[in-house]
Amino acid sequence: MRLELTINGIPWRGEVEPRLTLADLLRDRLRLTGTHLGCEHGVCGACTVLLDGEAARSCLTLAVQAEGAAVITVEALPSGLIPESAFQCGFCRAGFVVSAAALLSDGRRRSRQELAGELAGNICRCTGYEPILEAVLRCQA
Amino acid sequence: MIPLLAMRLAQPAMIVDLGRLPELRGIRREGSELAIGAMTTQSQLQRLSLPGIVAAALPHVGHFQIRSRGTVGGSLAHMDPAAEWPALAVLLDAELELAAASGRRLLRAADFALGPMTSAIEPNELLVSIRLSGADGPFGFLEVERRPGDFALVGAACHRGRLVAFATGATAQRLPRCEALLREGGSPGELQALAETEIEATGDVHASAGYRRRVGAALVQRAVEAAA
Amino acid sequence: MRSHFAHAALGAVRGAGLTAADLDLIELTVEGPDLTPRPWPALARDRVRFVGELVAAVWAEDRYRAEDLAGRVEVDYDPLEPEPPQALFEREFGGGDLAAAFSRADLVLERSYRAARQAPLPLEARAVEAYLADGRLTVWSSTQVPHVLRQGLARALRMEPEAIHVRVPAIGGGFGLKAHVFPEEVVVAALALRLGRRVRWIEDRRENLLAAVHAHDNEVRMRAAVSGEGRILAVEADVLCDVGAYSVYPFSASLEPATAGSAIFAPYALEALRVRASARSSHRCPVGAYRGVGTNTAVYATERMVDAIAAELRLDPLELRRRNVLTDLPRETLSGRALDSGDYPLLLDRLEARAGYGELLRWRAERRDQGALVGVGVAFFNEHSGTGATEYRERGVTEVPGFDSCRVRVAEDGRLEVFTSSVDIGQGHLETCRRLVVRELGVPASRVEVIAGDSDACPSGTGAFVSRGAVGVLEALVKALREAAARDLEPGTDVTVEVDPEQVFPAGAHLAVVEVDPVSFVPRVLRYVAVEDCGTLVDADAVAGQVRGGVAMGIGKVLLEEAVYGEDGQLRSATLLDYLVPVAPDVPEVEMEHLESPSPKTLLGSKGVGEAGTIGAFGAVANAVADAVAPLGAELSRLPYSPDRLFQAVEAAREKKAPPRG
Repeated sequence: MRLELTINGIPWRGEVEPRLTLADLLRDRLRLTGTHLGCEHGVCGACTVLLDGEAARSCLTLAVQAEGAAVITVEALPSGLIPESAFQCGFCRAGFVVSAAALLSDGRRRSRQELAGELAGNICRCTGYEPILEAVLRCQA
Repeated sequence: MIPLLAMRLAQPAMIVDLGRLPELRGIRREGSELAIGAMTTQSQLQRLSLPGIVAAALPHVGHFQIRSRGTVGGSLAHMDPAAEWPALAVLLDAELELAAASGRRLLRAADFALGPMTSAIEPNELLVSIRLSGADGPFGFLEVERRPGDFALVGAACHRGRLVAFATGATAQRLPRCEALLREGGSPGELQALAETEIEATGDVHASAGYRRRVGAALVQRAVEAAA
Repeated sequence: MRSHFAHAALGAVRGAGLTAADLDLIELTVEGPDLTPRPWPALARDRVRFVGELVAAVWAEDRYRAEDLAGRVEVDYDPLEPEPPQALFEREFGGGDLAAAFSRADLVLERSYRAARQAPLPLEARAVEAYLADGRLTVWSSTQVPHVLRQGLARALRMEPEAIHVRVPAIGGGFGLKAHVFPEEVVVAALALRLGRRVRWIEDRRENLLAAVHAHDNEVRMRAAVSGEGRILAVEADVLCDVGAYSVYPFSASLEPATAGSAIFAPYALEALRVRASARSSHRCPVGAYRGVGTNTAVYATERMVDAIAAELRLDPLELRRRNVLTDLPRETLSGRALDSGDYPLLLDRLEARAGYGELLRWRAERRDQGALVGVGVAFFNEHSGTGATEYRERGVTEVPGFDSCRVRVAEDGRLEVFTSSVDIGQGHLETCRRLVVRELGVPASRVEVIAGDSDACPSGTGAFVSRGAVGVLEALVKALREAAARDLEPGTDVTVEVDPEQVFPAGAHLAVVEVDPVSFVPRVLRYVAVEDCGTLVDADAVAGQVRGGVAMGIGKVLLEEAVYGEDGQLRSATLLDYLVPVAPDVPEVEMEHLESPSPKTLLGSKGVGEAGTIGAFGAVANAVADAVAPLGAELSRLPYSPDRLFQAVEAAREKKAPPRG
C-alpha cells in the first residue's frame, strides 16, 4: 500500500505492507531507532511517539493508520527534556521523553504524585523512577 | 487488536481502518440524550464536558497513551470483562447503533453483551454510535486496580438506583436483587451481604472468585453510598 | 518454533529449516560436586520438557516473513505424563551442635515460607546476531558475559575460542537474565556458519517471559530454637528449589539452592545452623540468575522468621535483631562465609535514627486506632559480592571463570585506553571506571576511553553479575592503573592485570512502611529507608542508582511479580498484562544513608551494591505488609503478597476466630 506521512517534520512516502507496524516503519525503514520495542502489546511504553500531537503506542499502530499524520519521535525532541543522567540503561528513555513532552504541552502543573500516576504507562526496570520524575518536575517549573 | 495479530491468534484476510470516517467521530447532544460516535477516542471524550459518571470512568481506561487511540466503539465491540465502557453501557442502559449494508438497528447494551470478549455485533456490521440518555446525576463508580491504569480486579457502579458489578470475569452484570433491596431501603450491611451472593465471579491469575465477590460487594455498597 | 507441550515425545518436524538432526552440537553440560548434570539442548532432539522449549528454526529476510514460515511448520508431538521431579543438586551448610541448642530452647518455632517463581524481565529482551568475517565467527549478543559466551559457543560448536569474536552492543538492562549462554545463541551461531550469512534473532516479550530464564521458585521450611531472653540459638532449614526443566549454563542447577542455602540467617550469631539446600527439576522454564539470586529467598525467609520470633516473644523486631546480629567481624559464619568487615549494630542504630523509628511506631498506633491497616517492617541482611575463581572452584562451579581483568594502554598521543572484562548493562559501570581513572591518575576525562564488550580487545574475565563490578573489576582496573602510573604513563605502555577476587560482604538495614487498603487489600509502600554498607563508596551516584533501582525491583518481587503456570504446564502470565512489574506510583522516594566499613580484601575497600536494594526489600517490604495485616490475625507466607493473597489470609484468620456453629 502507498503511504504518505510526515515524520519529525519531514514528509515521507513509500510502499508498505498493511501489517507493518508504525514502530517497525520508524525503526527498520527510517532507521529512527530511538523508539524501542519492549513488549509489543502496548504496556511498557518504550515505543511511545507523538501522533498528531498526542502520545500513542507505535507498536499498536499500523503504519497505514498513520496515513497523512504527523509523527514525532524522540529524535526530534529537545535532549534536555530529561537528561541522560536520569536514566541507567536508557532503553525506556524514548517512551518517557515523548510521554513527558505530551504531558508538559498542556501547561498543567502536576504534583509529584499526579505525575507518577500519569507516567504509570511507562515501565523502567533500572532507576526506580525517582530521577526521571525529578527531571520532569524540574521542566514543569 | 494488534497484539492479537502479532501473536497470530487472529489472522483476518482483510482489515478495514475506520479512522477515515469523520461521521463516526464526535458527540451530539439532544436534550439529555448524548450520542457518541463509535470512533471517538477516549482522549477526545475527556476533553469534552460530560456527565459525571462518564468523566469519572474515563481516567481509569488504560493510560493516556492508550486513550489517544482507543475508541469507545472499540472498547464496546471488544467486550473485555474488565473494561469500563461495557460496564457503563449496561449501567446507563445505553443504546448501541449498528449499521450493516442492509440497514441499521438499535440494540440495548444488555443485549449487546453476550459474554466475555463477545459482543452481538454481526460480521457484516459496524458499531456507529452509543446513545446515553439521562446519564447525568449522582453516581458511584469504583474499581480496584493493583497499579494505576491496570485492568480492574473488580468494579462496581451505581446510577439512578441501578447497580452493576464488573471486572468479575463475566460481562458487566446488573444486580436486580440488590436493586430491589435498595428500593426497599435495605441497610448497607444487608446490601453488601446480598451483593456477595448475587455477584457471579470467576478467578484468574490476578484474583480469585472469592475476592471478586467479597470485594465487589464492598464496592457495590460504597457505590450506593456515593450515589446517594 | 517452540514446544507448546510441557512434556512430550518429539516426532517429525516438517517444513522447518533446521532441527536438532541437522546440527552436530555439543551439549553445554555443567558438572560439579553434589550436582547431577542436565544440559539444556540447543534444539530438542526427541523430547521436549517445558512449554517454550526450542524445537526448530526457520529464517527469512525479515521478522514478518520468518513468522509466516514458522506458522507453516508442522511438528508431531506425543504428549507424555509429567516426569516426577528429578533431584539435581543437594548440599548441606552449617555447623555447631544443633541438638544441644534445641534442647536448651525456651521456644521452638516452625515456619514455612514460599518465594514466587519470577522472571528478570529486562526492558530490552535478548538479541543475537552472528556472521562470518575474515574467517572468524563474529557474534553480537545482548549479553552480560562475553567471554563466557565465547567459551560456551566454542564448546557447543566444536571450535577454538580464538575463532570466535564476541561483541556486545549497548544493552537495555540484564539483571542476571543475560548472564547465561542460551540455546538461541548457539542456534543463531550455528546457522550463520551453515548458511555463510548474517543471521539475527530478536526476542519478543512473550518468548522472554516464557523461555529465557526464571528465578526464585523456592520454599524454605525452618525451625528455630530461641531462648527466653530473645537469643536465637539455632536454626534448622530446608531450602527446596524448583529449577525447571534444565540446568542453565554457566551457573547450573546449583545456583539458587547454593546461594540461598549459604545465606540463611547469615548475619546472625547462632550457636548452631543446619541448612539442607536442594534443587529439583520440573516441566517449567529453567531457573537462572535474577538480581539477588538465592539471597533474596534466604533473606525473605530469615527476616520473616525473625519477625515471627519477635511476635512470639513480644519483643520489638528491631530490638530482637540487635540482640542477635553478629558483632565480631571479621569472622567466618557457620555456613562458611568469610565476612570481611561490617558494624552490624551500627547499621541498626543508624536505621532507627534515620527512620525515626519511635515516632513511626507512635504514628502506626494512631493510624490503627483510626482503622487503617498500616505496617512497619525492617530487614537486616548481608550478601556476597564478587565471587572469584578460587571460590567458584571450591564450591564446585566449574564453568564460571571467576576472575576479572583490565588492560590499560597508553596511546602514542597520550590518550588512555582502558579495556575491562566487565560489561555495562546500564548500571553505568564504564562511567564509574572512567571516574576512577581520572581520580587515580589525575588525567582529564576527555583523554580516557573505557572499552568493554569485545572478546578480542578486552582481556578475558567473567563479565557483569554478582555485583562484581565494585570488587574484582575495579581491583583489576586500579592495579593496572597503578602499574601504568609506575611507568610514568609512557606512550606504548600496555599493562594487563588479572584478579581472582575474594568474596566480600556488603550489609544493610532497611525499613519499609506499608499501607493496605482495608476494602481492596491493595498494598502500597509509603516510605522506604535504606541504610547501606557497601564498603568504600567509589561512585556515589552509581551506588544511589543501584539502591533505588534495586529497591523498586524488590518491591515488585514482593508485591507484584509472579510467573504462574497452569496444571497443564502452560505459562499463564506470558504478557505484561499478567506479569506485573512496578511503575512509578508503586515506588516511594528511597531515603538512603551509607556507612563505610572498608573491606580489607579490596584495594579500594569497596564492595558490590547492585543487588542490595532488592535483597533488603524482600525482608523489609514483606515484613511491613505482614505487620499491616497482623492485627487481623492474618498470616502471610507466600509471595507475592498480592491483594488476593492478603484477602485469603484475612479470611482464613476470620474463619479461625469465628465460633463453631451448632
